[in-house]
Amino acid sequence: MRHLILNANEAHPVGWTDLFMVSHADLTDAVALEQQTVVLKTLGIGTVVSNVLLLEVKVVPAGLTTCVCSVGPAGINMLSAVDVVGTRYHVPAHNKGAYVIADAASQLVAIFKPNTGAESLSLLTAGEFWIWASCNRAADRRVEV
Amino acid sequence: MKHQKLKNNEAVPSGFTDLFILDTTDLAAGVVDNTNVEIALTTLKVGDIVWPNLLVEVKENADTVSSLTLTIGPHSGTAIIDGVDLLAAGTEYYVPAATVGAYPAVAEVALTALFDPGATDECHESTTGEFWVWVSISRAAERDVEA
Repeated sequence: MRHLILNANEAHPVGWTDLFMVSHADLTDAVALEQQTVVLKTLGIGTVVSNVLLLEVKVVPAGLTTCVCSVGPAGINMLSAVDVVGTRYHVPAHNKGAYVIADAASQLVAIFKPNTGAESLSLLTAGEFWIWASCNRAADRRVEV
Repeated sequence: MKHQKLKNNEAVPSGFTDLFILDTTDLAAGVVDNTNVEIALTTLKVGDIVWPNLLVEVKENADTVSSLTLTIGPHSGTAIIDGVDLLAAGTEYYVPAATVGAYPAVAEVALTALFDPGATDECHESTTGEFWVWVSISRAAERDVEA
């Protein structure tokens, strides 16, 4: 997995701050139908994860019949079990709001799961997933007043 | 219709990327009663995302006709802004309803502005009207980063 913190030149006007690139090589779980969690980053208290989130399938997965992915702060699915084999672009549903890390540090995660027969993630021979996220960090909101 | 693709120093921090300016000249084709005028604002390519961060700003209200509404959305697709009133004086700002999510284009399609006149009205009869449409589009072509 690669993680780019977008600089001012690269940041998109819609507000993405981070780009995570997950490849099939990151998905090694060999147990049938078992999900694997990829930790994208740690979210400190006060971080706001915007619902302007995009999962882009850059390389369509090969080796699995079906595979779904959920993305969001741990326990909070902004994207919930979306089909990454059949559909290339995924955005949150209208009823998914922004999420603030209020009480304890958390993690932004992507959870992948095969969904057919006895297949496991380790069977993947191709697949690349780009996750564009907007994480407004408390540390970045410090201004001199 | 004018289309400004906002540069970095023009883009509003809230994330608007495009500004479309429509006025009465865009309604000239509407010469039949109760017939819509649909204007292509821009072409959405596969992978372009239109966020529900969209604003219709009625700079100048329409007149003369008994009814005129504006809908913004992909051609033949789900409206992002649905049938807002362009006549009501003092009602000048419209944003998407809470039930509207982002729209990912899975095939090339036009993002359109659809003007809908009343049953006995023709769009071109309005002698006034200027409508600014602020849109936030993430274009797939602009997401190519050196990885």
